[in-house]
Amino acid sequence: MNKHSIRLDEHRIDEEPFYLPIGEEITIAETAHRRGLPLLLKGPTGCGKTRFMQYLAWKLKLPLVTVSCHDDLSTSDLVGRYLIRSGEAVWNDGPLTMAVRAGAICYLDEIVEARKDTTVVIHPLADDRRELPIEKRGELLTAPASFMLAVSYNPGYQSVLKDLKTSTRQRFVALAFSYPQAELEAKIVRRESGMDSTMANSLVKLGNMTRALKDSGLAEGASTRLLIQAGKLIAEGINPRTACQVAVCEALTDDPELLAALFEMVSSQF
Amino acid sequence: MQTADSAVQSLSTRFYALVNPSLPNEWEVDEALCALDSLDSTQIDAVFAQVPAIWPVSQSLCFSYITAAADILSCLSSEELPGWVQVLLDQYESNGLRSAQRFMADVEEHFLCRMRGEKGIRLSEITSRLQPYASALAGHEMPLLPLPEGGSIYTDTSAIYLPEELGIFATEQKNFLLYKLIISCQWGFIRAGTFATASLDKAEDHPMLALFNNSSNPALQRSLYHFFETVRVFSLLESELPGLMREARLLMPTLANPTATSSNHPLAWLQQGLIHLEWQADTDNAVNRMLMLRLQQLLDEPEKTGLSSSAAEELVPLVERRYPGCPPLSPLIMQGELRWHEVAKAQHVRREQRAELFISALAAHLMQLPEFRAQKKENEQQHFQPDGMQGQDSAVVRDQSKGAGLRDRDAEAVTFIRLDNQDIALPEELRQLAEAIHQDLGEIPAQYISSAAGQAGDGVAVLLPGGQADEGEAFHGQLCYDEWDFRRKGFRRNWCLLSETTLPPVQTNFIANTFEKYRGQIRKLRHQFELMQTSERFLRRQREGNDIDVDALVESLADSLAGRSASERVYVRLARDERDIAVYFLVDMSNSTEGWVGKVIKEALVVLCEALQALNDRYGIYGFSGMRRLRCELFPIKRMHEPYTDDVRQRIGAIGPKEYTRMAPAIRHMTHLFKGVEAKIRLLVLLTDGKPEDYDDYKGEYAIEDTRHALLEARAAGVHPFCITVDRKGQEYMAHMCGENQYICIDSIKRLPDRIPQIYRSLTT
Repeated sequence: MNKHSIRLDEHRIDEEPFYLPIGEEITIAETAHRRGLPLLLKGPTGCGKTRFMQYLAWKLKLPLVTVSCHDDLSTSDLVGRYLIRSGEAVWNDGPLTMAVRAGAICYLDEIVEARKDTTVVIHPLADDRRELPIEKRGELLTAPASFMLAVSYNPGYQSVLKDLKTSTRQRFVALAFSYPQAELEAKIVRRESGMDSTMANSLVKLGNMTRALKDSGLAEGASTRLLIQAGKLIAEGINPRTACQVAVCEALTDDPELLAALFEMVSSQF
Repeated sequence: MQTADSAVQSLSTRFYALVNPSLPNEWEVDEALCALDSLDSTQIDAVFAQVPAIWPVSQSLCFSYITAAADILSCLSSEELPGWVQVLLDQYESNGLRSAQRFMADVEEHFLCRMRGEKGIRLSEITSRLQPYASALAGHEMPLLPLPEGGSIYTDTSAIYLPEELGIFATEQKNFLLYKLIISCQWGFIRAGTFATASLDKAEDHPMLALFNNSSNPALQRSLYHFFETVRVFSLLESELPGLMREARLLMPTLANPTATSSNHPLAWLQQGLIHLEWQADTDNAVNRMLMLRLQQLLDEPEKTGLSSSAAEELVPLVERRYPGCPPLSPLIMQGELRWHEVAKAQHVRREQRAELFISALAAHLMQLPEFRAQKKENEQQHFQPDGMQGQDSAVVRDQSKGAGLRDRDAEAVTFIRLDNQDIALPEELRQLAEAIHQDLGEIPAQYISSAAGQAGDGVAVLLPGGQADEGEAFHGQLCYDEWDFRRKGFRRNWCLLSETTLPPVQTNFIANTFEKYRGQIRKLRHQFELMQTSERFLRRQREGNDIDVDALVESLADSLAGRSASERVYVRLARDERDIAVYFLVDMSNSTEGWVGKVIKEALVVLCEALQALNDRYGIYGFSGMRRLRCELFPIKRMHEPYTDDVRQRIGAIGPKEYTRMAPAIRHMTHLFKGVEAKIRLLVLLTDGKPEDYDDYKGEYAIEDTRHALLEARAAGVHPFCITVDRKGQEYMAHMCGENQYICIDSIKRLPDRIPQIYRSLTT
């Protein structure tokens, strides 16, 4: 048990992460935590889902165990496995088990990337049972009150394969995230990148222009994260047009025509 | 006279020899050739040398060319003529005879300026860059459309109308920037609310027009109003698009003084002040004092509407007193013209479109509702029809007069509609539409809802792909698909009717011959494909894994007891590198594939199918052709889940040239079919021999843009399209149509059976 708490301490967030609430999401998440309900965060990439989880973990003073899901993620990657140590088979908790034992927050990022059979293990944890069966050990863990399960996904991938099973999604309190309002976003970009406010406003305007291109061949517009990255380059003295080209335009598309159009937007802003 | 006649005679003999075998009208030829009278023999040779290039393209163009030749050669040397003719033909092919004739008429401006590196720029050259820019500014589609010659720039709030060519500046770069400035400025008028009014039924009702008409000098008041609005727009642009305005300042001095007369205008200083949004104060001048006051107000509150009209109204008498007979300010190029009538028209069109969209979206939504479908089914059973699917007569007849209506939860948000005493919650997209309609009309007319219910009841929505119709692969009816119209940047809804037609199997020795011809190759390919076959399997003795490999562990323990070094490889890992691939091959069956092109394509298919037998990849083959939008045909050769049998082989043998190449509906249908296929990789391989084209006006840019859009839609639906073309001219348009690296042009058709399996292999590994 002691060993777990040492490893979990690495997941504690001591400094308050910067998070600007858009609506009631913090109250809702806190209430969900109090009543033992799992959270589903959905929204486009780079709009602040992970930052929100960090903020929540800090606010609830709980460790945050994040698992980035991928299509090779197996159940034992989540729950745990036996390892051989000096001739003995020793059980080793996976991140999910670790979080359940310690009553931490377990955050499965991009859950749709995981195979559907893998995500099924979270079902008993995500309803009122709040249990995690560890088949290999014949153990049934019951989550303490402080444990919280959160998952995230990006509904923008228009693929039937990248969708949550109904039985999975109908266990969650779902919070929809989107890019913040221009003023809020400018505040965020300014705060995170350390640039001045006129530049931050221009960056946000650029971001909104790219988002309007969503149906003209661009899969997704520039995320807040991308704008912050461009902002960081600008704050360090890189020419704003260059910074936007490398951090926004080239990151968004390879299509030469769209790139030219994006660059026109950049040059009209800076 | 005699000699002149005989000279024309000998020229016409030469001319007839050049255009052989056509036999143009004698008098027409003579008339054109008379114009060559003044040229010497080398010049005439040079002129004639170009005739074989122009004649097959257009005979009228050729006559115009000969008639104009003397004038042309007064500007150009004989050596420059071939280059000029090339540009002329380009002009003709892209813009037609009129435009080519204009081009001919002004050799100096249209050709020599460019030869000197000076260049105007055409609207068609800039749209690929500035169209997305305009739409991104507006936040929705904002088409950039060409103006008729000589018309002035304007926006009707749905689109921006621009001159086809701009040549005000010497360099292409500056002219491009001017286009960008014009677009931004026109958008600025929309953004600044210049046209914003409550809903209008007729343009004549517009309060601004009424105001102008009541003025003592409508034209002057109008031009002042336009100027004040431009000040607001510029000040908005200054804050919204600072980068553009900084660059635009370089253009402004030229733009603000277009002609000598305009710079003599008593108020010319106003327009010059636009450059820096600063004006020279002159305290002795009452007009100037008032203007300065008003301008300051506008700059202080650029977002506030209404200031301009009161300022203009106030200034007209002052200006008239000080400068009697003062003409109106002529607008600068980027100001364009404010056209209220067009705005009102566009508003009307938008309203209609919104209604149409709302009705079809609501109908589709209703179709999805279980209670609605249940009711529909009930009704259908009552009016049972043998051919069920289309069921035109099985309309659900409802009494709409009482049932339909709108319920607002609160004053603004439209969230529910009421139909037959049932409250139906609207999904987000519909809700937005409903709100837009509500804002425009103040209510949602009951007939919108009733016609949606009617459509849903008629099963019109069943025809839409992506609706809830579960026809699957075995669907034999007709499907409606939208078609992308690049000119209006929107879909022509339900434009193409596509049907699946079964090819009758043909008993020929084609298959046997192909086997014989490619026996070695098939064997080699099979072997190669077998190596690609992998599946889910356990990897034993791994350093890490999901579980313990007991055999390895026992060995390792025994080793360590025996004093030897124990292996660390004691885990089992499940390797999941199975191929989970579904692929559709879409084969062009247009009549241009007649002959050996078609034969080689068929052979390639046989070779590929034989090789694919070694893999577990699921695949289907469809051929497509058709004529006109209402008869797009798709020929299933092998459906996705059908085994590769003799029937399939015979159907491959039955592939033959049919009609035209309307590619996009076929692509859209394949995307639709893919929706029912679960696979990690979903690949659509398009096999074609040329550009998309149909019997009607479906050709050229329109066809390419529609196909490109269909491919984009496929990509958005998680399908990877890939095009293989044997068109030698493919390089010209394939990159644009399919995207870089998403296509391959095969020069040597003979190698197709060899190349296609290779391409398939590299695409899927």
